Amino acid sequence: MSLDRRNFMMLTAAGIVVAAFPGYAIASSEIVKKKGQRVVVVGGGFGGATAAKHIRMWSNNKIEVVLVERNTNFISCPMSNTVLGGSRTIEDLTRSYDTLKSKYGIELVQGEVTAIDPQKQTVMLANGHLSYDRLIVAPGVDFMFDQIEGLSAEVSAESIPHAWKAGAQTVLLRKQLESMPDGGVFAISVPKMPFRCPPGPYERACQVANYMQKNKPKSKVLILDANPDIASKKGLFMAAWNELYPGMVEYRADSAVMKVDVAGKVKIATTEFEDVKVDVLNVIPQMKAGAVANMAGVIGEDNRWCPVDFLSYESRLQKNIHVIGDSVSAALPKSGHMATSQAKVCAAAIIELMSGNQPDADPTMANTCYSMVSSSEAMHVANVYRFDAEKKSMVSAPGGGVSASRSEMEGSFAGYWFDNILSDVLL
Amino acid sequence: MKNMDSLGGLQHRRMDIAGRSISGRLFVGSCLKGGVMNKIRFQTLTIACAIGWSLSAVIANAAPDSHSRNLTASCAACHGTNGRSVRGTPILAGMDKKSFVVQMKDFKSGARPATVMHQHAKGYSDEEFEKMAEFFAEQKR
Repeated sequence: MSLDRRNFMMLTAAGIVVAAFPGYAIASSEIVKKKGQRVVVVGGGFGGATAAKHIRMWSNNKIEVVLVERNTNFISCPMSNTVLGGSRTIEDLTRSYDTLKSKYGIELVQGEVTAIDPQKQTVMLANGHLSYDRLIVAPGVDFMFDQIEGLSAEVSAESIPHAWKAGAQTVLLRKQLESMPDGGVFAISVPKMPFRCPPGPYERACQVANYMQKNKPKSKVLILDANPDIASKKGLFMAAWNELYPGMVEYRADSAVMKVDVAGKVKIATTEFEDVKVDVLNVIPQMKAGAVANMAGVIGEDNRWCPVDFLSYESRLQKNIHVIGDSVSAALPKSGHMATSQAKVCAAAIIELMSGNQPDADPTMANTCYSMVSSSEAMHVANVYRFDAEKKSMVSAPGGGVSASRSEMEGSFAGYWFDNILSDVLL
Repeated sequence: MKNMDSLGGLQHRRMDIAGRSISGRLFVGSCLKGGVMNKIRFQTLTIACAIGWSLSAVIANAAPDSHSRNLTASCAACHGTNGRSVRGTPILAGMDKKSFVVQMKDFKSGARPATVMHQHAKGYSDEEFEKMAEFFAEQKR
């Protein structure tokens, strides 16, 4: 086999990177000095923050924990659709990480991870490195912008938001709704499953319709779904659209958006069948494990998600690296509650493994996802998941299901869920 | 070797039983069964049982095992860390064991109507209700 010039150059470049990396690791300073057994957690979302807290709590503070997060604050993605509806503000969803440090002694490092070396067991940041005995990767999802012509991270941030991570884009989408004329059309493009928060797009349709009903009653919500059908709580969502927002919500199945365009104030979404011209366009691209998972080398053969051992959430590809939350390849819903449950199985397993014991052989977890369909009413989907030793995966236990109907009582329960889960993650 | 195996087996059985005094009696029963064996093996078994007995006594004073804790962990989303709800939902920390088990069984059977708890309750066994009850009972309110 001969190498052409270009491949040779690429190999050389790769060689330099590999050769330079260990030198850099030695030359750079350790951001927080490692004293004892240490777990580094990358990503302070529902999964990562929960894992950090529970490792400290359940090990009686014996294991050092460093939590690396690029954002200054925690912003909850659950409930963020209500910012579009107007019953909550982004500030209502924003929390500090401070208690994780003051109460649990977790070292908080704000910054962006630039590389991970699984052999040397180090995480690199711009201002130094962190060494670990075990690493938890909890990066959430990244978006596959390149699957849609005309879409990019920049276009998403400026004009066609996904708003599928709570924060700046949630606020942008709300502002776009506010400046939309009465009689305008809002379109939401739903990606093919699997994606973060399966009921989320349909809940969003309800929240946007709720805003319009109060402020711009001649407007319409159009759902362009890449899936053949409503992916979650179908009957309940259809009832909500028909009964709460009659004539406002239109649903189109098998309508994957392949191309987007901005022409003045009009946005164009192109599907296999048509060009749809709308005032506000909300395109949720397909998702994959966050970039940090790629740096850790834990993404599987599908090039999207991370295969793990469900007893410990240790990667099937890298020793001493665990993956939790939306990035995991599993028949589990990609929800905030699920991320916290995985985080606890992972935390408990790491404590056992670090004491020379085996992890709990029978991990069992519950998931409850509420969807707010108006400012006061909600409905849920709930399920228990158990480890199947033969299949080596998590499977649905009997008895799970959805609400009999939406109700204000469940709207209150959704609020209780929100306060309690945030307290469990951060306080 | 065989004796060690049987001890391991006994310990495993003890872990599966929620009531600790009952598990203690299990050890005695097993020791008596050992009495039909030859004298040396009986003596070894007796020592093993004695260790097992004292071990179970030590564990009886400790916190519930980590599996019970892990089982309850995902209840926290609605009921707070260790069952200490911060708002709205029932506080499970410090709840009477019997009361917890009865309520979960009633949710499971449908005797007690619910919006969501019947769906969760059906996913767990009665033995798991006992373990969860034990964990929550020992948590400070």
